[in-house]
Amino acid sequence: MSCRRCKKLIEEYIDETLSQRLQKGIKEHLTNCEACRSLLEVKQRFSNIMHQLMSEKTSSLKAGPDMLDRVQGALENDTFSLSSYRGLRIKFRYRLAWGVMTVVFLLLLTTAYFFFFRPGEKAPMAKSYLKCVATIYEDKDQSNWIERCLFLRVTNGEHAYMKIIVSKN
Amino acid sequence: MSVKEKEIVAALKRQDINAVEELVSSFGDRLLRSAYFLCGNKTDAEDLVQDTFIQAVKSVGRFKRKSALYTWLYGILLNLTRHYFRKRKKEVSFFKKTQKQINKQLIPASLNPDLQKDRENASSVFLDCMQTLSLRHREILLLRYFNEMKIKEISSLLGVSKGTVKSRLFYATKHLRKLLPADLNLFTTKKD
Repeated sequence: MSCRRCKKLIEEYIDETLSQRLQKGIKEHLTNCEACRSLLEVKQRFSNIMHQLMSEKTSSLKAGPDMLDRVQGALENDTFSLSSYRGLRIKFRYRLAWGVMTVVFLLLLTTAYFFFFRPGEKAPMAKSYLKCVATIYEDKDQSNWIERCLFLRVTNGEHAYMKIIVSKN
Repeated sequence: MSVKEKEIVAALKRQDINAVEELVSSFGDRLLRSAYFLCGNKTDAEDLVQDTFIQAVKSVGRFKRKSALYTWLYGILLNLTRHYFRKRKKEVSFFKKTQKQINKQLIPASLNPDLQKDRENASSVFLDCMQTLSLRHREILLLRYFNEMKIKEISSLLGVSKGTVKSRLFYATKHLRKLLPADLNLFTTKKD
Protein backbone atom coordinates (compact mmCIF):
# COMPACT_ATOMS: atom_id res chain seq x y z
CA MET A 1 0.00 0.00 0.00
CA SER A 2 1.49 3.31 -1.08
CA CYS A 3 1.12 6.59 0.78
CA ARG A 4 -0.76 8.02 -2.15
CA ARG A 5 -3.35 5.24 -2.05
CA CYS A 6 -3.59 5.47 1.70
CA LYS A 7 -4.28 9.21 1.61
CA LYS A 8 -6.91 8.67 -1.07
CA LEU A 9 -8.75 6.11 1.03
CA ILE A 10 -8.17 7.60 4.48
CA GLU A 11 -11.70 9.06 4.78
CA GLU A 12 -13.32 5.71 3.97
CA TYR A 13 -10.89 4.05 6.38
CA ILE A 14 -12.14 6.33 9.16
CA ASP A 15 -15.73 5.46 8.14
CA GLU A 16 -14.85 1.75 8.09
CA THR A 17 -16.63 1.32 4.76
CA LEU A 18 -13.73 -0.28 2.93
CA SER A 19 -13.42 -3.99 2.26
CA GLN A 20 -11.68 -6.06 4.91
CA ARG A 21 -8.64 -6.42 2.68
CA LEU A 22 -8.25 -2.66 2.22
CA GLN A 23 -8.93 -1.90 5.89
CA LYS A 24 -6.25 -4.35 6.86
CA GLY A 25 -3.85 -3.00 4.22
CA ILE A 26 -4.22 0.58 5.41
CA LYS A 27 -3.91 -0.47 9.03
CA GLU A 28 -0.63 -2.19 8.24
CA HIS A 29 0.59 0.81 6.27
CA LEU A 30 -0.24 3.13 9.16
CA THR A 31 1.83 1.00 11.49
CA ASN A 32 4.89 1.68 9.39
CA CYS A 33 4.27 5.15 7.97
CA GLU A 34 4.49 8.10 10.35
CA ALA A 35 3.33 10.66 7.79
CA CYS A 36 0.08 8.83 7.10
CA ARG A 37 -0.40 8.14 10.79
CA SER A 38 0.00 11.84 11.47
CA LEU A 39 -2.52 12.64 8.74
CA LEU A 40 -5.04 10.27 10.31
CA GLU A 41 -4.57 11.90 13.72
CA VAL A 42 -5.07 15.37 12.21
CA LYS A 43 -8.23 14.30 10.46
CA GLN A 44 -9.66 12.68 13.55
CA ARG A 45 -8.78 15.68 15.72
CA PHE A 46 -10.24 18.06 13.16
CA SER A 47 -13.42 16.00 12.97
CA ASN A 48 -13.83 15.94 16.76
CA ILE A 49 -13.24 19.66 17.21
CA MET A 50 -15.48 20.60 14.29
CA HIS A 51 -18.26 18.49 15.74
CA GLN A 52 -17.77 20.07 19.16
CA LEU A 53 -17.74 23.60 17.79
CA MET A 54 -20.82 23.05 15.67
CA SER A 55 -22.70 21.32 18.45
CA GLU A 56 -21.84 23.98 21.03
CA LYS A 57 -22.85 26.82 18.79
CA THR A 58 -26.28 25.34 18.21
CA SER A 59 -26.88 23.56 21.51
CA SER A 60 -29.38 26.24 22.58
CA LEU A 61 -31.33 26.03 19.33
CA LYS A 62 -34.49 24.02 19.77
CA ALA A 63 -37.50 23.62 17.51
CA GLY A 64 -39.97 23.97 20.39
CA PRO A 65 -43.79 23.88 20.43
CA ASP A 66 -43.88 27.00 18.31
CA MET A 67 -42.53 25.05 15.35
CA LEU A 68 -45.26 22.44 15.67
CA ASP A 69 -47.96 25.14 15.78
CA ARG A 70 -46.53 26.75 12.66
CA VAL A 71 -46.39 23.48 10.74
CA GLN A 72 -49.88 22.42 11.76
CA GLY A 73 -51.25 25.87 11.00
CA ALA A 74 -49.67 25.89 7.57
CA LEU A 75 -51.03 22.41 6.81
CA GLU A 76 -54.54 23.39 7.91
CA ASN A 77 -54.52 26.50 5.76
CA ASP A 78 -53.16 24.70 2.78
CA THR A 79 -55.76 23.25 0.37
CA PHE A 80 -53.55 20.28 -0.29
CA SER A 81 -54.62 17.56 2.11
CA LEU A 82 -52.63 14.61 3.34
CA SER A 83 -54.62 12.16 1.29
CA SER A 84 -54.92 14.07 -1.95
CA TYR A 85 -51.77 12.76 -3.55
CA ARG A 86 -52.94 9.91 -5.69
CA GLY A 87 -52.44 8.37 -9.03
CA LEU A 88 -49.86 8.88 -11.69
CA ARG A 89 -48.27 12.24 -12.19
CA ILE A 90 -45.83 12.55 -14.97
CA LYS A 91 -42.91 14.23 -13.36
CA PHE A 92 -39.62 14.99 -14.90
CA ARG A 93 -38.11 11.77 -13.63
CA TYR A 94 -40.78 9.69 -15.42
CA ARG A 95 -40.08 11.31 -18.77
CA LEU A 96 -37.06 9.12 -19.21
CA ALA A 97 -39.15 5.98 -18.68
CA TRP A 98 -41.77 7.21 -21.17
CA GLY A 99 -39.05 8.06 -23.64
CA VAL A 100 -37.53 4.60 -23.40
CA MET A 101 -40.95 2.95 -23.80
CA THR A 102 -41.68 5.06 -26.88
CA VAL A 103 -38.37 4.11 -28.47
CA VAL A 104 -38.97 0.41 -27.75
CA PHE A 105 -42.47 0.64 -29.22
CA LEU A 106 -41.17 2.30 -32.39
CA LEU A 107 -38.48 -0.35 -32.70
CA LEU A 108 -41.09 -3.08 -32.41
CA LEU A 109 -43.23 -1.41 -35.05
CA THR A 110 -40.25 -1.10 -37.39
CA THR A 111 -39.29 -4.72 -36.80
CA ALA A 112 -42.84 -5.86 -37.42
CA TYR A 113 -42.95 -3.85 -40.63
CA PHE A 114 -39.77 -5.38 -41.98
CA PHE A 115 -40.75 -8.86 -40.99
CA PHE A 116 -44.26 -8.85 -42.30
CA PHE A 117 -44.17 -6.32 -45.10
CA ARG A 118 -40.73 -7.03 -46.56
CA PRO A 119 -40.61 -5.90 -50.16
CA GLY A 120 -39.57 -8.44 -52.75
CA GLU A 121 -40.71 -11.38 -50.82
CA LYS A 122 -43.60 -13.15 -52.34
CA ALA A 123 -46.17 -13.90 -49.82
CA PRO A 124 -47.42 -17.36 -50.47
CA MET A 125 -51.07 -16.66 -50.53
CA ALA A 126 -53.05 -14.47 -48.24
CA LYS A 127 -51.60 -11.44 -46.50
CA SER A 128 -52.70 -11.94 -42.98
CA TYR A 129 -49.70 -12.04 -40.73
CA LEU A 130 -50.72 -12.47 -37.25
CA LYS A 131 -53.85 -14.44 -37.65
CA CYS A 132 -54.54 -17.73 -39.35
CA VAL A 133 -55.90 -17.60 -42.79
CA ALA A 134 -57.82 -20.52 -44.00
CA THR A 135 -57.63 -21.02 -47.71
CA ILE A 136 -59.52 -23.64 -49.31
CA TYR A 137 -58.13 -25.19 -52.36
CA GLU A 138 -60.11 -27.35 -54.54
CA ASP A 139 -57.92 -29.97 -56.05
CA LYS A 140 -59.53 -30.72 -59.31
CA ASP A 141 -57.63 -33.88 -59.73
CA GLN A 142 -58.64 -35.17 -56.46
CA SER A 143 -62.14 -33.96 -56.21
CA ASN A 144 -62.71 -36.06 -53.19
CA TRP A 145 -60.24 -34.07 -51.22
CA ILE A 146 -60.53 -30.72 -49.82
CA GLU A 147 -57.34 -29.32 -48.64
CA ARG A 148 -57.31 -26.77 -46.08
CA CYS A 149 -54.08 -25.01 -45.79
CA LEU A 150 -53.52 -23.11 -42.72
CA PHE A 151 -50.98 -20.44 -43.16
CA LEU A 152 -49.16 -19.41 -40.11
CA ARG A 153 -46.61 -16.75 -40.38
CA VAL A 154 -44.34 -16.90 -37.43
CA THR A 155 -42.08 -14.13 -36.30
CA ASN A 156 -38.88 -15.58 -37.69
CA GLY A 157 -40.28 -15.41 -41.19
CA GLU A 158 -40.73 -19.06 -41.72
CA HIS A 159 -43.92 -20.29 -43.16
CA ALA A 160 -45.50 -23.18 -41.52
CA TYR A 161 -48.07 -25.10 -43.41
CA MET A 162 -50.35 -27.33 -41.71
CA LYS A 163 -52.40 -29.35 -44.07
CA ILE A 164 -55.49 -30.84 -42.79
CA ILE A 165 -56.79 -33.22 -45.36
CA VAL A 166 -60.31 -34.07 -44.95
CA SER A 167 -61.77 -36.88 -46.83
CA LYS A 168 -65.13 -36.46 -48.29
CA ASN A 169 -65.85 -39.96 -47.69
CA MET B 1 -34.71 2.78 9.12
CA SER B 2 -35.43 2.39 12.81
CA VAL B 3 -38.70 1.03 14.11
CA LYS B 4 -39.72 4.47 15.37
CA GLU B 5 -39.12 6.03 11.96
CA LYS B 6 -41.20 3.34 10.27
CA GLU B 7 -44.01 4.01 12.72
CA ILE B 8 -43.89 7.73 12.00
CA VAL B 9 -44.01 7.16 8.24
CA ALA B 10 -46.89 4.71 8.59
CA ALA B 11 -48.76 7.14 10.84
CA LEU B 12 -48.28 10.01 8.37
CA LYS B 13 -49.63 7.86 5.57
CA ARG B 14 -52.62 6.95 7.75
CA GLN B 15 -53.17 10.69 8.39
CA ASP B 16 -52.75 10.17 12.09
CA ILE B 17 -53.20 13.48 13.91
CA ASN B 18 -50.26 12.81 16.22
CA ALA B 19 -47.89 11.92 13.40
CA VAL B 20 -46.88 15.51 12.62
CA GLU B 21 -46.20 16.20 16.28
CA GLU B 22 -44.06 13.08 16.48
CA LEU B 23 -42.18 14.08 13.34
CA VAL B 24 -41.43 17.59 14.60
CA SER B 25 -40.42 16.48 18.06
CA SER B 26 -38.11 13.75 16.70
CA PHE B 27 -36.31 15.74 14.02
CA GLY B 28 -37.05 19.40 14.63
CA ASP B 29 -33.98 20.24 16.71
CA ARG B 30 -31.49 18.55 14.41
CA LEU B 31 -32.97 20.05 11.28
CA LEU B 32 -33.09 23.51 12.82
CA ARG B 33 -29.42 23.35 13.81
CA SER B 34 -28.45 22.17 10.32
CA ALA B 35 -30.56 24.89 8.70
CA TYR B 36 -28.92 27.48 10.98
CA PHE B 37 -25.49 26.57 9.64
CA LEU B 38 -26.74 26.63 6.09
CA CYS B 39 -28.42 30.01 6.11
CA GLY B 40 -26.72 31.79 9.00
CA ASN B 41 -29.66 33.12 10.96
CA LYS B 42 -32.34 31.67 13.18
CA THR B 43 -35.37 33.25 11.52
CA ASP B 44 -34.63 31.92 8.07
CA ALA B 45 -33.63 28.57 9.55
CA GLU B 46 -37.03 28.26 11.24
CA ASP B 47 -38.81 29.10 7.99
CA LEU B 48 -36.78 26.51 6.12
CA VAL B 49 -37.45 23.82 8.70
CA GLN B 50 -41.17 24.65 8.70
CA ASP B 51 -41.26 24.32 4.91
CA THR B 52 -39.30 21.07 5.15
CA PHE B 53 -41.88 19.50 7.43
CA ILE B 54 -44.76 20.72 5.29
CA GLN B 55 -43.15 19.33 2.17
CA ALA B 56 -42.40 16.05 3.95
CA VAL B 57 -46.01 15.63 5.08
CA LYS B 58 -47.28 16.40 1.58
CA SER B 59 -44.96 14.00 -0.16
CA VAL B 60 -44.70 11.15 2.36
CA GLY B 61 -46.36 8.96 -0.24
CA ARG B 62 -43.26 9.30 -2.39
CA PHE B 63 -40.88 8.27 0.38
CA LYS B 64 -39.54 4.92 -0.71
CA ARG B 65 -37.78 3.96 2.54
CA LYS B 66 -34.46 3.46 0.76
CA SER B 67 -32.78 5.76 3.26
CA ALA B 68 -33.29 6.78 6.86
CA LEU B 69 -36.14 9.21 7.49
CA TYR B 70 -33.75 11.90 8.71
CA THR B 71 -31.67 11.57 5.54
CA TRP B 72 -34.80 12.06 3.44
CA LEU B 73 -35.84 15.10 5.50
CA TYR B 74 -32.35 16.49 5.20
CA GLY B 75 -32.51 16.07 1.43
CA ILE B 76 -35.70 18.15 1.38
CA LEU B 77 -34.05 20.77 3.58
CA LEU B 78 -31.06 20.98 1.23
CA ASN B 79 -33.27 21.43 -1.82
CA LEU B 80 -35.29 24.12 -0.09
CA THR B 81 -32.12 25.90 1.03
CA ARG B 82 -30.75 25.93 -2.50
CA HIS B 83 -34.06 27.26 -3.76
CA TYR B 84 -34.00 29.86 -0.98
CA PHE B 85 -30.59 31.15 -2.01
CA ARG B 86 -31.41 31.10 -5.71
CA LYS B 87 -34.55 33.08 -5.04
CA ARG B 88 -32.86 35.59 -2.87
CA LYS B 89 -29.78 35.77 -5.08
CA LYS B 90 -27.93 37.01 -2.11
CA GLU B 91 -25.50 34.22 -1.62
CA VAL B 92 -22.66 35.72 -3.62
CA SER B 93 -22.96 39.20 -2.16
CA PHE B 94 -23.45 37.71 1.31
CA PHE B 95 -20.33 35.63 0.86
CA LYS B 96 -18.19 38.58 -0.17
CA LYS B 97 -19.54 40.87 2.51
CA THR B 98 -19.05 38.43 5.28
CA GLN B 99 -15.56 37.59 4.11
CA LYS B 100 -14.60 41.27 4.39
CA GLN B 101 -16.08 41.36 7.86
CA ILE B 102 -14.08 38.32 8.84
CA ASN B 103 -10.88 39.88 7.59
CA LYS B 104 -11.44 42.95 9.66
CA GLN B 105 -12.64 41.14 12.71
CA LEU B 106 -10.19 40.74 15.50
CA ILE B 107 -9.78 37.04 15.61
CA PRO B 108 -8.52 36.07 19.06
CA ALA B 109 -4.77 35.73 19.04
CA SER B 110 -4.87 32.65 21.11
CA LEU B 111 -7.54 30.01 21.30
CA ASN B 112 -7.25 26.71 23.02
CA PRO B 113 -10.10 24.46 21.99
CA ASP B 114 -9.61 22.41 25.12
CA LEU B 115 -10.71 25.30 27.32
CA GLN B 116 -14.43 25.99 27.69
CA LYS B 117 -14.15 29.78 27.44
CA ASP B 118 -11.96 29.64 24.41
CA ARG B 119 -14.28 27.11 22.86
CA GLU B 120 -17.18 29.52 23.08
CA ASN B 121 -15.15 32.17 21.32
CA ALA B 122 -13.93 29.63 18.82
CA SER B 123 -17.43 28.50 17.94
CA SER B 124 -18.49 32.09 17.19
CA VAL B 125 -15.45 32.61 15.01
CA PHE B 126 -16.07 29.28 13.42
CA LEU B 127 -19.68 30.14 12.56
CA ASP B 128 -18.58 33.39 10.93
CA CYS B 129 -15.99 31.48 8.91
CA MET B 130 -18.60 28.94 7.83
CA GLN B 131 -20.74 31.70 6.38
CA THR B 132 -17.94 32.73 4.04
CA LEU B 133 -18.01 29.33 2.37
CA SER B 134 -20.19 28.57 -0.60
CA LEU B 135 -23.39 26.65 0.02
CA ARG B 136 -21.86 23.49 -1.42
CA HIS B 137 -18.95 23.57 1.00
CA ARG B 138 -21.18 24.36 3.93
CA GLU B 139 -23.38 21.40 3.05
CA ILE B 140 -20.40 19.07 2.96
CA LEU B 141 -18.98 20.25 6.27
CA LEU B 142 -22.40 20.03 7.89
CA LEU B 143 -23.04 16.52 6.64
CA ARG B 144 -19.56 15.27 7.48
CA TYR B 145 -18.84 16.89 10.83
CA PHE B 146 -22.16 17.90 12.33
CA ASN B 147 -24.34 15.04 11.14
CA GLU B 148 -21.32 12.67 11.17
CA MET B 149 -22.35 10.99 7.95
CA LYS B 150 -20.03 8.72 6.04
CA ILE B 151 -18.62 9.60 2.63
CA LYS B 152 -20.82 6.93 1.02
CA GLU B 153 -23.97 8.32 2.66
CA ILE B 154 -23.14 11.90 1.68
CA SER B 155 -22.48 10.78 -1.88
CA SER B 156 -25.86 9.05 -1.99
CA LEU B 157 -27.71 12.01 -0.45
CA LEU B 158 -26.20 14.65 -2.70
CA GLY B 159 -26.27 12.46 -5.80
CA VAL B 160 -22.57 12.93 -6.55
CA SER B 161 -19.63 10.56 -6.64
CA LYS B 162 -17.48 9.82 -3.60
CA GLY B 163 -14.59 11.54 -5.34
CA THR B 164 -16.65 14.72 -5.64
CA VAL B 165 -17.54 14.57 -1.96
CA LYS B 166 -13.90 14.20 -0.98
CA SER B 167 -12.90 16.97 -3.32
CA ARG B 168 -15.46 19.40 -1.89
CA LEU B 169 -14.42 18.39 1.62
CA PHE B 170 -10.81 19.08 0.76
CA TYR B 171 -11.51 22.55 -0.61
CA ALA B 172 -13.89 23.44 2.20
CA THR B 173 -11.25 22.48 4.74
CA LYS B 174 -8.59 24.35 2.82
CA HIS B 175 -10.71 27.49 2.85
CA LEU B 176 -11.38 27.18 6.57
CA ARG B 177 -7.71 26.71 7.21
CA LYS B 178 -7.00 30.18 5.85
CA LEU B 179 -9.55 31.79 8.12
CA LEU B 180 -9.43 29.94 11.41
CA PRO B 181 -6.75 30.85 13.97
CA ALA B 182 -3.71 28.61 13.89
CA ASP B 183 -3.90 28.32 17.66
CA LEU B 184 -6.91 26.09 17.32
CA ASN B 185 -4.47 23.49 16.05
CA LEU B 186 -7.15 22.05 13.89
CA PHE B 187 -4.79 21.17 11.12
CA THR B 188 -1.87 19.81 13.08
CA THR B 189 -1.46 17.04 15.58
CA LYS B 190 -1.95 17.97 19.19
CA LYS B 191 1.35 18.92 20.79
CA ASP B 192 1.82 18.17 24.40
